[in-house]
Amino acid sequence: MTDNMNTTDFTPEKSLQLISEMIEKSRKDFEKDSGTPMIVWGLTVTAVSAAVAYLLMTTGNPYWNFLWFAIPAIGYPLAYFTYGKKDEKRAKNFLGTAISGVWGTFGVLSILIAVIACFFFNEAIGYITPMIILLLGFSTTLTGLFVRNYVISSGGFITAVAGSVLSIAVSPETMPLLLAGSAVIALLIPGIILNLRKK
Amino acid sequence: MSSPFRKLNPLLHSELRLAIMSLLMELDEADFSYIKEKTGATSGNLSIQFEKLSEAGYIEIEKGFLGKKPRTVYRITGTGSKAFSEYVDALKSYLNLP
Repeated sequence: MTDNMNTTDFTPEKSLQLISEMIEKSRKDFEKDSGTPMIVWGLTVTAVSAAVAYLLMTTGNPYWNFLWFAIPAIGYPLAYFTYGKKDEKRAKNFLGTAISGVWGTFGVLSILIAVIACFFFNEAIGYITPMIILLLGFSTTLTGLFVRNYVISSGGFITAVAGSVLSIAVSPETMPLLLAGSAVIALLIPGIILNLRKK
Repeated sequence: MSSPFRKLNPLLHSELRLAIMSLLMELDEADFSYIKEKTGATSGNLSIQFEKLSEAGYIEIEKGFLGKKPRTVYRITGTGSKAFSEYVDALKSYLNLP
């Protein structure tokens, strides 16, 4: 569609067709790669959580909890190189802004909870993991509702409820495994679903 | 006897201007290169149409920079949004849509 898109008049049917075509074009553009951030963060959280669980179980040294800060330390550079660089948004829509807002808030709150937990160190792990799982499930539920994908929103809801309840039953050393499992259900799988949906 | 057909806004009843407005109705904002890519129009033609839409108060134009590169961002205004909705309503009268 180069200069055939001129300024001469055209029929009402053609007008309506053009409006639908343009709306569809912009929607498809936003669906493209929309799951990639969730996959990147899902892999990072799963890998770090599994590493923390392994180190806590094998050494019993609670200082390995400091490894949680590897999530933002690895996640942000990875996000920049996988999707952030090309993400210099040439257009913004409400949906994209809302989803970015939800996950941005989740990231800030999670880091804040982890920093606060450092002051209460040994006991804190029992409280921060359920809180982060709850926030993670909530953010995924909202994302699923925004994109009208009920598999994603149900996964988020199950993560929030089951993850928080189960965290009462597991030992502090195995709790990171619960977070790893939650990241798979609430980040990795929804991310893959979103990326497959666009194809 | 009055016509069942409502008058179509001549400013919007033009292929390129309608394409621009349709994109901006769906978006919060978009820059020049995005709209150029989606419409497939030439830069010169696009600039002329942006100017006409801006003069009518249908879009607002914000010139700025993204890093060191100049960047122009376009947004639909309340007047533009209302005009677009009225245009779509008028279209329906031609197509017998509810």
